[in-house]
Amino acid sequence: MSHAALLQTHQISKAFGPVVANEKVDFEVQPAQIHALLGENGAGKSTLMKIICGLQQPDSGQVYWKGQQCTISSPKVARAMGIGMVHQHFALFEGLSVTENIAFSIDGAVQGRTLEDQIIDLAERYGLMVEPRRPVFELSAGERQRIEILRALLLNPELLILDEPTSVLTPQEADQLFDTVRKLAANGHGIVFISHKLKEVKALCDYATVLRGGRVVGSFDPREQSTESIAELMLGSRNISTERQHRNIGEKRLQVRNLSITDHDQALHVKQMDVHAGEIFGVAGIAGNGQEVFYAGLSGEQTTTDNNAITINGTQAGSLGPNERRVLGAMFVPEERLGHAAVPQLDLLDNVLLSNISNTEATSKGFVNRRYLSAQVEKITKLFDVKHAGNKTAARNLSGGNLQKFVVGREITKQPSILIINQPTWGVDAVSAMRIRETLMQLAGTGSAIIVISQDLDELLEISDQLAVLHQGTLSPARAVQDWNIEQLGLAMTGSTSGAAA
Amino acid sequence: MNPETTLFLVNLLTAAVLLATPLLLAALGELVVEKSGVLNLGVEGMMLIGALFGYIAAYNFQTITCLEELIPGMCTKEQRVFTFPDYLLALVCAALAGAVLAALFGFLTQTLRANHVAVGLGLTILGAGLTNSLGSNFLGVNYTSVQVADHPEVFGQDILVWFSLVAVPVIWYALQKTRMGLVIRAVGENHDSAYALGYRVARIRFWCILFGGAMAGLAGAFIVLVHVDWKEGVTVGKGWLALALILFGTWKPLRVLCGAYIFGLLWASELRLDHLFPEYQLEWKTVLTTAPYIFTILVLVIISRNPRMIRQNAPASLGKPFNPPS
Repeated sequence: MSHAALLQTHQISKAFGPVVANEKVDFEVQPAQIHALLGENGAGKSTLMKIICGLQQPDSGQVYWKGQQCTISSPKVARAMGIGMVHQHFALFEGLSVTENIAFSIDGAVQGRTLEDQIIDLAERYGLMVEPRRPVFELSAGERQRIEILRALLLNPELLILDEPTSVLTPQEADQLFDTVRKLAANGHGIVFISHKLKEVKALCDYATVLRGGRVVGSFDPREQSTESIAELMLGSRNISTERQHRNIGEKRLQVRNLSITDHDQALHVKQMDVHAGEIFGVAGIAGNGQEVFYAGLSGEQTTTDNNAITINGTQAGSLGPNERRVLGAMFVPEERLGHAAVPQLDLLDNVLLSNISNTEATSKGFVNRRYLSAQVEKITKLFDVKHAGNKTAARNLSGGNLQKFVVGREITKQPSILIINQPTWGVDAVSAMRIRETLMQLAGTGSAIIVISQDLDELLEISDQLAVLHQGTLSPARAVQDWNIEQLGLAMTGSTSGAAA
Repeated sequence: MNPETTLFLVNLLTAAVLLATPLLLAALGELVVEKSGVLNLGVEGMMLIGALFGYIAAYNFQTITCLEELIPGMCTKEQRVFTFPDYLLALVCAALAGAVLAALFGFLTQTLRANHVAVGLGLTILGAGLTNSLGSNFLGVNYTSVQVADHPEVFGQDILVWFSLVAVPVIWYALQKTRMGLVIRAVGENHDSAYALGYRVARIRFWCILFGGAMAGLAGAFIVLVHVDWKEGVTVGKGWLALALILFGTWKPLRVLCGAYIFGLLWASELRLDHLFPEYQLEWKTVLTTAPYIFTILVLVIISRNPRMIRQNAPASLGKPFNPPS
């Protein structure tokens, strides 16, 4: 081979228990190439990158580096070979300066002033402006990312992997990053660019590989493909089932008008959203597009001063907190099971009590009705077949799936008039997930209004009546699920059009 | 300036140095401990242990020469000399004693991952109880009955005074400019990231805790060897004040030094109030006694209004439990 690729994987497979993360993946990066790696959440991108970075070992298949077969046994080995990675979540030390952060993580090869000079040198060469002496906590996400990139570049990598680098950046910062990436590629570095955003990929990358369900489903020059065809390749051909149980749609239960809030630097804008009794309203979107703030806004964890923005069962509730909204008939199941939905150290009984504080059956005159609570635990665990060792089991001792069934059950058994549920089946085994979905549909059948936020598109297509897409904190107008097609969904989820595809 | 005023000022400053030095020693040690992310509230206990063991060591190490032996085998007139090497040996004992108690803290908090606050408080109680029972034989005993004039001094000050002053820039330099200091600060800042990068968080912290214990031991020894004799609870809460001093100095050695000497000066003037304000003695005494504490509270209020200051100097992982992923 006279023209060996910089990096090549041959038939890489990796499974975690029954879950196949990578199946016979062939992936090739040339020097000076900007190679996009595309795919939904859980398509196997992270696993492939972890294998390349030495964090994980493949079950089978080979990795070639410049034409030579090699074993990347640890991140250290990967770094020594010349593979650098910029992670999506930065592992920086907030109280330390930029230089100190870099010095700490490169094993003390360079010290003090020389390091500072090197940083400034590199920064100038690639347009990565940083001030070496500033403490990190003062810096924006973009500046922090530049530190991560500089940190990787100081080790002189030949291959640089950028994991969803623009997800935390402002558009201006993203443009700067693209300039840097182009300069790096021009200097012969191979770049792997992991992203969901097709527009970026088309603008920046000269090659793309698409993963779906752990397999490579396409590799091509993204500039020569239409956004629509790439989106369809990522999502696959799915049937939107038009067949669904007939449910009586009743009166309006939840109304949202011009809701604008910000939580943890994530902004949310919902222009209009109506959910009726007997309806399941699905909210699709790729992770990190404002699902958390959307949930926080509806549950009352993040309130707004505009009381009219949210109406629950006819009462204006924009400025009400979670418990007040519960009194109005809304129930909530957050995404994070341990620590958000349930207190890990408390037992099941106490965890039921926590979401029943304003329930007069559970507490009266300041006293806790333990008999009622233990009956509730009984009911929930029976209904959902939650495996547990008695009421006194601490929540953290339940497995993920069992705990999820428990926290979903806790809200459902109260026959909520409105249920807002974030990622109902995340990390739950297939049978339990089906059980949860069935229960949600039954609940809608009895007249509850349900809002499901999920990254699992199949799930939403299966159970939703109305579907809207959340992209960068903005909720698209909702449409009946039959009126969407997969291409439009893909476009809306990747932000290739504003809001719904026209 | 008349000679009387000069003398008064010299006395005042001498007293201030005597009062400030143990505070500075203990605070510098604890500063390193806190920079590594550990909150050791047992400074007072470690100072007491250091004080007692320093005192016992000093008593036992003094050199005795017999001058007169009227009855054979029994000395009737002896000379006790506390030499410079004896003094150093006593200091080493005090530092070791403090470090041993600190090692107990380190074992409980780092190896067994017990709560820092609970163990620290326990350490203080243990230190007080242990020294009260072990030290009862030494109440009222003068470790050196003869040789006060011979007390080892350099340029008119005890060597520990110089040691504490030199320690300020040394600790600053070590923390800010050396790789070791960078590692200590990084561990205190974000133990999870440091662990992920391959640093042994518990081990690094253990060494810092030992250093803090040794410094507290020296602080205790200074009190009983240079200042006053051994008595129960001889440190009179200086360990707690050392903890407050770190907040006062926002984890910066130079500011801790300033704080220690301000506190020292305030106490020293409190003791000489008769001279300063013969007529307002009682009121001023109250004010001056509480001044260090009011100062600390004021400074804390000012600091807490400036989140940037805290973010930059306070170790972010201070006192947080560290459970490495297994």
